[in-house]
Amino acid sequence: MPRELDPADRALQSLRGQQWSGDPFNIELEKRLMQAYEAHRPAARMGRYRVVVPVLAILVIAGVAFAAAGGVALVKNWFVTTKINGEVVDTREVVPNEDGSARFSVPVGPPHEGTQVVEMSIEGDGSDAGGTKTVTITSDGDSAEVEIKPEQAKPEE
Amino acid sequence: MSQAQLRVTMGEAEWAIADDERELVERAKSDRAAFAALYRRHYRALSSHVLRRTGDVHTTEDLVSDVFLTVLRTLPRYRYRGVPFRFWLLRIATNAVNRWARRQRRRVLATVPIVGLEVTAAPASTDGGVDKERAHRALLSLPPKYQAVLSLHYLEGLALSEVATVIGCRVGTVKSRLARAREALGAALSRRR
Repeated sequence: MPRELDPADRALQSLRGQQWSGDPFNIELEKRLMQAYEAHRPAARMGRYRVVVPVLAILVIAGVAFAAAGGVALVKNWFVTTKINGEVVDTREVVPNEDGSARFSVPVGPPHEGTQVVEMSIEGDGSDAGGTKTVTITSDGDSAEVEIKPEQAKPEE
Repeated sequence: MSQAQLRVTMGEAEWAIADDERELVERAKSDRAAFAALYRRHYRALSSHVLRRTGDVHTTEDLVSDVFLTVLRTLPRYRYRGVPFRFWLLRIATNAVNRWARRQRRRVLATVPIVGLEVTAAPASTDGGVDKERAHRALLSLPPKYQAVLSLHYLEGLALSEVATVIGCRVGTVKSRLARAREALGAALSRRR
């Protein structure tokens, strides 16, 4: 005796034979797809790379040229680190005056407060020359004035 | 699923078709005409699959358009790993219909008539059988993940392992989901008598 189908089986069986009765394909959709294909095809994607790659190359070359022309040292020198007896007490961006001089105040907290500061080292002096300068400043308050003077050209003998 | 297992499931003739299709799919990545051929080859079957889920011709046309546009966009990333292209298409279609079903479930249940369906060689619903309209509404009332497994297994005729490949889960998950889906379908049908 054949097994009687339950309602779920009968429902699924009634749906199983249903087929798409429309056109075998949609010509309008095909046209749309072909237009979209042009935008997505490999050549079109390569077209995007043709723009991006030169821009990236220009940026890389410009970066290398900037670094080679001393740009890294220049940027580094905008930031002045002040050390007292080897201890960093201040780091700041210093924009030098037209003559290359710069003046700023650094806090001198404990343990240097009220003591004689025997040596102050300044790394990056805001000038194109770069390098480290060591100046001796005496401080008896809670801050010290730092003045950077441009290098004086030595008279030729 | 390994290639050997798939070969057993599919049969040699179907495997040969899959090989031929594999070439067509590769060409379709860079050849417009090959893509058009691929589209024409799958349009009808995919539309039937989507229509069985949605029950509405216009919705089916919209969803099938979305599916083929997604195929066009993602085809360059498609890599053949022993799974027929048809399964990949069914996965995209299933995801699209599930998204639609989540958005439209309540509205569809209340209003959408079942139109544009044609019965071909299907047993007629007689002697207390379930008519298509009622069966369809009951199917649409289920959570989309249940609709998907029922549709892929019972309506598309995919084996459990193939359903697992299409929806991206384990065979055990498909089995348990099918059991719960059948139960839910039975309950939905009894509510709608």
